[in-house]
Amino acid sequence: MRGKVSYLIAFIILLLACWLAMGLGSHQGQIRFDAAWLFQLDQADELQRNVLLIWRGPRVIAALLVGAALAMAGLLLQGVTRNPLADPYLLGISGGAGLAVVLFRGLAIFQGADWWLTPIVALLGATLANFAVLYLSRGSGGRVTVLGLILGGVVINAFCAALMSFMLARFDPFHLRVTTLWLAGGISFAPWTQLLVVGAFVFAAWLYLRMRAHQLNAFALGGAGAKSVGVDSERLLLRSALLASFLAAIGVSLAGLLGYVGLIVPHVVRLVVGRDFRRTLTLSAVLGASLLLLADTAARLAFAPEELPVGVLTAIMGCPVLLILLRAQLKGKR
Amino acid sequence: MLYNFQRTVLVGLLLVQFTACRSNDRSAVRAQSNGESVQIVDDLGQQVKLAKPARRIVALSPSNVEILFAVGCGERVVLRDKLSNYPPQVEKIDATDGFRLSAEHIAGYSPDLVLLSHADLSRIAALRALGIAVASFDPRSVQQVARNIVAVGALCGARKKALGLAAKLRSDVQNLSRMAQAFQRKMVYVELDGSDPLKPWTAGPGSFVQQLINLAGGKNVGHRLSRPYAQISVEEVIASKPQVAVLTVSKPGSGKEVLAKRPGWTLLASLPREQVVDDSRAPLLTRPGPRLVQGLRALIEALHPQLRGRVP
Repeated sequence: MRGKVSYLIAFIILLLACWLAMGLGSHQGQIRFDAAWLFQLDQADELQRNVLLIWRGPRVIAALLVGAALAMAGLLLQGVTRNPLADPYLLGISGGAGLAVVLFRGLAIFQGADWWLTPIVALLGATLANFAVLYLSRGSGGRVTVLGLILGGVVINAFCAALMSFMLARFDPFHLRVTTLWLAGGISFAPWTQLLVVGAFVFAAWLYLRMRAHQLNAFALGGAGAKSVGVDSERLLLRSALLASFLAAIGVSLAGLLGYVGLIVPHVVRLVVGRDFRRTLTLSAVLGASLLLLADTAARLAFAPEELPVGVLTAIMGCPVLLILLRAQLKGKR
Repeated sequence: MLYNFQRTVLVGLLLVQFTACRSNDRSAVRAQSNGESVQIVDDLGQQVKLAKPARRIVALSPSNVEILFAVGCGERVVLRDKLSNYPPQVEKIDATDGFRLSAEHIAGYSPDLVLLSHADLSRIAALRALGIAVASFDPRSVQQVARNIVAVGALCGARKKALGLAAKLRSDVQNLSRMAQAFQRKMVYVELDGSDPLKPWTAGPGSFVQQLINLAGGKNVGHRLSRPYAQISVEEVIASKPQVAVLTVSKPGSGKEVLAKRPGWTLLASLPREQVVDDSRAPLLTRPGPRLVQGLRALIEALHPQLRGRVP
């Protein structure tokens, strides 16, 4: 029962977020989105069509996809590391993806690269960073420790940040100006084809995880418990790390370095519906999408017509949550 | 009716400002009568003293380099910043990064004067500690450009020429602006960086280019921003229906052609060529140097077709 109600509420929040994001604009309320346009697009004027098809529409979809991807990545990482503090941003996975993209653009290996190349490069960086952190965080007996994760994340993040600063300092500032903005985290323009492909990937990731949900639930029982139901922990960890890197890379390639979405959302979801991965997965995806969309809309409107990088907002929301979680963890350990 | 009244008040205020500043010139420069020594106050409010006019000058902003050439001291520039590109002969002068200065590198050119525009106090202190005179100018208005010209002229011993240049700059701007105020104000969109076409960087209140737009009888699309430079929502840009676009070019191939490729920008991409200020003319509007008059002229011609070909 509680499950059904929470799904309902989550979807209502999602619809509400979409309606707000589509309906609110920066231009003193002059461009109002009206659902009626959808049915008479041929009669809409150019401004209205632009709002729907180019300015707000794709941005809303991009925010939804990135939010869902980051929340799922966070949930997955938290599940397989058995640690509520895991998040693609905190663990340096996004940093790795970011560094890869900055190196790629800075060295200009492929000038004028297509939109599909950035995500591939980001995926490479994310995977490398993810495995580096997991390797660093292994304590005795191969168990991933909290301390190891946090420290590993700090080290990888610091390393990536330093190399990115180096690239930005070394190379022509104009050449990498896009990159500088992008590092702050912000949803920018994406063509419909890209959104379609990314959407298909995010959906596939959701489907895959949904089918593996029982394994992840078993994994949560711990090594022995997992083994008793026939789950190969090592393989599951490896696959999950890859999938989390993949989801984080999607986030980075569409929205830059955006933190804390993957941290806040799964935590809130677990508070409400418990630890069953089957439920938390879908709810995290839906709520992550809504949260990022609301944050992006706020970033668009707070100082309109000026635009803020949405990463600033997610960090402002996320840091207190991180502090509370960290505090609870440390207390629990004592 | 009210509109006309406002316009008259605006023109009046502009004129008052100019006349007020005319007397400011000389106060900024207190050239000592005994010998050649010169003393000025720069935009940071710091006193800059030279025992005799500067012979070897390091100029680290495009506007300072242009001013030095305009007052006839161009051949004394021993080091410039990478962005300086006018007049063409500056290409032969050694170049360095104007933002990340190395005091040691600069000192290696044994200059007696360093001119900056992006003030970084710790680096200025480092240069001063080496006994090098440093003056920083960051003009944000036509008036301040004129002051900058006079001060730089004084420092390199071309005070008379600089005063003449500043006076001409003022009267040219005044005449052009008076012409332009007679027409209806049109919206002008300035693009500084459009890498993210959903939220391009533009200029707002307090920027040099917004003042030029007002003087040219236009209205800046970014006038509601809270800062001189910020990212603006594309919806605001298109919905304010700009009739003139100023596109600063940061890499070859940008400009009007790029607008045409951007989805949702047809309104701006379909502006007639005469209503777009781009290529080499755009930096004239964002660079606070002596050529701002040419930039203002280009903007007025783009804004007021009635004046095309008749602007002096």
